[in-house]
Amino acid sequence: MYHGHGGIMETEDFAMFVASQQQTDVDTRIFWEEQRDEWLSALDSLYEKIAGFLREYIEAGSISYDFTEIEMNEPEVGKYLAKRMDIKIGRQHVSLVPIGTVLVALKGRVDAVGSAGRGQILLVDERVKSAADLIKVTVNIKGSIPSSPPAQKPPISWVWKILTNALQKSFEDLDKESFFELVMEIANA
Amino acid sequence: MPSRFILDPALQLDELASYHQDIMAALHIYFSPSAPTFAARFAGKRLAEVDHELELRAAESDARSALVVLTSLEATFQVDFDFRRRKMLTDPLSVYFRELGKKRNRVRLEDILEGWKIYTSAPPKLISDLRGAFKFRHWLAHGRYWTPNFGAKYDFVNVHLMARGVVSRFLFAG
Repeated sequence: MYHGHGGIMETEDFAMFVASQQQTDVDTRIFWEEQRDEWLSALDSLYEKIAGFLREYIEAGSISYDFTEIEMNEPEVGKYLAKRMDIKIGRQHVSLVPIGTVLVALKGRVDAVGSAGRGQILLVDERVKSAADLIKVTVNIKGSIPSSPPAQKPPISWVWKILTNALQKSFEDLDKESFFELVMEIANA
Repeated sequence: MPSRFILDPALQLDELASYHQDIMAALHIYFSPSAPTFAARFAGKRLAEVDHELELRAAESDARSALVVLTSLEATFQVDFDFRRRKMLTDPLSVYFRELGKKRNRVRLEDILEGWKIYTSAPPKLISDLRGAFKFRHWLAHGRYWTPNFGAKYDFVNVHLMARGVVSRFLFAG
């Protein structure tokens, strides 16, 4: 609340406030740059993994793929380039389109787009099996002191999973079988 | 003769406004990061997508609330019609309604409004606005399967204001 005019003290406080905000701004920028780099690195890993799943078909010449760089623009992160993977299966095309990293509860999302639909491949906390695992409930009992949160949370290991059951939001591990199932679903197989 | 229906239009409108406010407030909380279910419900969405979904939900809730106001208003007209017809009142509107009831088994709201226009001092502009709003109600109630061409914008606030105007300026019987 503003309480009126001050003197030198307020000027100094204001200068400190301005200085602290510069540091915060730098910290925030570094955080988001790291976030972007981790997401792009995870995206490369995803594409490598998928190329691995398709290897025998690629070697046989029945499936091919290539990459196109697309411009991303996300709040906080700003503009950057990310690769889209276009997979050609005979006459069918499936694209893996990077959506971004500034997302609710996840570190990354790639939409798999086929002629008959779309699915989502998500960079999720390894421990999370379904959206229900993300529900946070805290209970404060009147009069009692809220218990303090654990001193340090264990680091999150981010892994790629496929969103199944869009309504209940289950996250299935990304493996050859689940990926092939997704492709067949969105390519109307 | 006992009343067949008991309605207090003003009370209903207050209750509907209060309900609408609660629903909107609840929606905004549900779509905010402070909701315990936020991460689960919107996992993988961009914040812009969350905002867009909230806008869609809010617009849908607004339309539904407006629909309920209009159905409530329609009920007020129908109850008044029924009361005037059965009470054998002698004012021109009641006489018109009795004649109307003799001709048709089911009286259309449009005919009831026409009676109000001809036989009362109810503001013609308000009756014209009502007709437009009931077209909106008709469109909503019939599944919105055609592209409407309304002359005005209908949302909860303006429909509720109009309903308030009707309840305070139309002398409903019963």
